[in-house]
Amino acid sequence: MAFINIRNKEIQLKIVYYGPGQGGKTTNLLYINNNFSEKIKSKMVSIDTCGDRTIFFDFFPFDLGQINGFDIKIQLYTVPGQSRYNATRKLVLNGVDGIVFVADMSASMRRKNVLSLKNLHENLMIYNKNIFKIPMLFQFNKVDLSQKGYPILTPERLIDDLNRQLKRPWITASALTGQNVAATLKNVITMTTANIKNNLN
Amino acid sequence: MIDLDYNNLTMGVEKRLDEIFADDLKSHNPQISKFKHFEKPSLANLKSIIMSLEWEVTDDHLNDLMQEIRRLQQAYIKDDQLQKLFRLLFHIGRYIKIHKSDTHPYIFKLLFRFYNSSAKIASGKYSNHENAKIVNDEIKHYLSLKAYLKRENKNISRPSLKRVNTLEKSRPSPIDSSSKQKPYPYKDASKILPTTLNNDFRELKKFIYLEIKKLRKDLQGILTLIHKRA
Repeated sequence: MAFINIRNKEIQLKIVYYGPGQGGKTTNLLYINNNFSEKIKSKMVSIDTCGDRTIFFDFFPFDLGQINGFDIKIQLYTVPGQSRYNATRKLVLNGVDGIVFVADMSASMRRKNVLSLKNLHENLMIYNKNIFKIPMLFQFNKVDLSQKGYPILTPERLIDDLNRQLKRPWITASALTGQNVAATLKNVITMTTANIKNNLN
Repeated sequence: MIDLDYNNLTMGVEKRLDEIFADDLKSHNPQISKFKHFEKPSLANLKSIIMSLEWEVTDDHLNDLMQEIRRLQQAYIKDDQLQKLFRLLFHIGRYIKIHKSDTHPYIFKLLFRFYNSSAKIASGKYSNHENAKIVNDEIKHYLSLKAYLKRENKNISRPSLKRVNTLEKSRPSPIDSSSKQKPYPYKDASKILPTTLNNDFRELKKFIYLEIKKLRKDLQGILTLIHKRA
């Protein structure tokens, strides 16, 4: 739930990038870090990595500044996608306000996408959170693979697999080239902010 | 009570994010898609491809057919009955690809049948039970045609005197001046005839041998029964 401090006039939003392993969650944050760290005056912290694999999590806090008299602080997290690190994923999901589900468009990742979404649903239930109610956005990552001749899953297929019941907004992206990375973040923050009222009620 | 104007806050956050990511958002021109059910594609394209195939069997039309079937298979991935029909269409497409203009004319009729049944199922007007019945009927048609073609193929592959007739048919017309220079193909026919007869004899022998073997087995069975009763 969003942390609102009325006395200090501060709102903290926690957004988690969730998805299968090597789907591009860390790459999303890295792109933001490399291109906007000066503007948002913050840097990404990567906790415990093994080569290009996240073992614990990535953390990227930044401040949006004063808006309507409130200081808006955003905390971005990624989870380790590998199935064996479920305990870490559960931990990171504690107090989550918004989720970006980074689905991998590679044709070979179809099953892993579905399993990861199922895992998210189960882990959210631990915190009495409903996957149908939490602000969530699907990012279909690695769209650039098709240009390189690799087989990819079509958005239709991914929607059929992941979003048929959830009916959430989705966007195709390439975290590597930065395509739609900022748009994803902008939309999930806006969605999460709009949901603060529902959260309090 | 929290004194917070949520609408203004959301708008303010959106504005601030636009400022931060301005360059990036402009360069990538993102389009976030609201959830929508993808409309199932109609089968009209499939129909037009089948019609063009009936008119003329070309590689382009065949490739179009295979591509369209693959596209429909993806679009109707959850519909088991349609998937079965698409698989049948795919097999027929492959058959036409091999036989091209020699394709049996009934194959095209079958293509239309399968298309009509697919359109029926895709319309969603029928119950699951009715859909299953439609598909089962089509599978029966497909299997019976397959068996028929197998039988026909056997007849064709068995060399016979008919081959001589085809040579007769291919006799060049006396009007065609260019054909006058070519030798008359009957010489070849005389060569073919003894070999074809030989093959026929060999097959007949085989057949008789197998029949006698079967008869022997039957007789042995009868004899053992008689012995037991005695």
